[in-house]
Amino acid sequence: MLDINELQSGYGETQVLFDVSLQVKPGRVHAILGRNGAGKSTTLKTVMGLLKAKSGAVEFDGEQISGRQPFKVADMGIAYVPETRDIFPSLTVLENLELTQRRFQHRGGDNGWTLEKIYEAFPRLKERAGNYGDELSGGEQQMLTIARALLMNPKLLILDEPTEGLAPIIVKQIHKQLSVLKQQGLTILLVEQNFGFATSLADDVSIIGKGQVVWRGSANEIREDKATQHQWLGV
Amino acid sequence: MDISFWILQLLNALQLSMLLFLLSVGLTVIFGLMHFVNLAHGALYALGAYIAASVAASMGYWAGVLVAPFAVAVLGLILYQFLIKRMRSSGPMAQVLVTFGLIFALLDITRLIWGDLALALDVPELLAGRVSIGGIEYPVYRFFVMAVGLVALVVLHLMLTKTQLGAMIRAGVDNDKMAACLGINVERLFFLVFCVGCALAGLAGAVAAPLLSVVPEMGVDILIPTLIVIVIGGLGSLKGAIVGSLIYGFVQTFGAVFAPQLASVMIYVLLALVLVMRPSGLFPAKGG
Repeated sequence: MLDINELQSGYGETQVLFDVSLQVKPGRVHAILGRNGAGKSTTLKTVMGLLKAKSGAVEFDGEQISGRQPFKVADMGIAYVPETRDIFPSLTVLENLELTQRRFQHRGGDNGWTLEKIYEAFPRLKERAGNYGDELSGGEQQMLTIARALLMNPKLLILDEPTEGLAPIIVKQIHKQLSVLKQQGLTILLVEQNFGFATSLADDVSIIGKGQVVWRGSANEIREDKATQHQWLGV
Repeated sequence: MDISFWILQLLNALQLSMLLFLLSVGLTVIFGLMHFVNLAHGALYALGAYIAASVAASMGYWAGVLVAPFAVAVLGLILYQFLIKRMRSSGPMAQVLVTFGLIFALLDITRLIWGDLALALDVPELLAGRVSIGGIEYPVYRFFVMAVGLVALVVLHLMLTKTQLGAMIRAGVDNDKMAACLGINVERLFFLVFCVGCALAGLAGAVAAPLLSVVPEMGVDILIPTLIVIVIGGLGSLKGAIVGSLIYGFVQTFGAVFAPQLASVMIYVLLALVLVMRPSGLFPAKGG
């Protein structure tokens, strides 16, 4: 579904990605692991068009998307949950949700995400519907970004460190929610520092080290492979 | 100084505030949405006044006041397509220099077309005359200017808070990158806001024209007050624009009454105080 080929990218003059290739297959959860600064978030930002690739290619659903502007990438069916969550503080919870719901609802068909389904999955958001984005706790913000992304009824959901800085109980809730999405067959690309969280959700794993994919395999394999864990993840 | 004197000053302050609001609101939202400083905003206001005066000379006041915002919006559209779009990725210094240069270019174009002499625009019959209020006679036209500002405030407020388009604009002001990642074409949104901001500048020029003589420099004269309004009010917010305008209008008007010797510096002292206490203004947009 998403094919990243020999991607090179970075911030201005500073190159971060030197050779990243990975394939996210339809209906599977793909986790990108790696140490801080390895280039995991940079990979996601380049896919979204927030950073310009220096070379290499990104294909989505058979179409070349590298070089496209973020709004066009989003429009193709990729929903992005950034590390910084980026809830709009001047919008209420409901307005944050409607921002995507009103424009993308039709994509879901009969089984697509609606406001009602979102409120069922995240009851807390219904209680907070009238609150502004800057009045939410970290956990509520994370639920809102995921909900906002789901309302795009995407083909691919990209999550950047969804558990960062959250209380264990919230992490558990998010894990449960993502497991449900996985069962429903949504394709997910996940960047995570939390090894247990990532490997219990993922089917496939790529490890990025120093801007390159240094290991690829299944989640089961990496759980057993202590040497690779030690070398590239410091677990 | 009796009560009627104070009512007169109050009305003058309100009228000045509303005029400044029309100008500052477009500029502040343009800045908030795209971090683009358009110093030529005042020059567009002057063009609005000239266009209104010219059209009104042959077709009457109302035609002038209707045509001016559209004509200035079209000019804004041309400026956007040929100049500003290209400047979007350059830094603030380059943007300031280019739009600063634009002030002089537009000033000279105005002189070439209309000459150096002041134009006048007569108040339409419907709005001529005075109403008596609290023992004073106040020109109807000045109430009209206040009403235009107030209507603009209410319409913009409803548009920004109650509509999907308004939510998209607020989202873009808060965080344009994230808005784009949700499929919003922020660039097109900016283009729309830019044109509306230009139309409001043209409208401000047209309604201000009968109050003062229309001269090429009027755009430069209004620029500094407009920028002060935005800095005091905070960038990117409607609330900031209206509060900043009211503060400027009242300080300027009542300052001249209480301490005429200090009137010209008072607003700058206030500006400095605001910058020390709240460097991003009183009501800046929340995002960053």
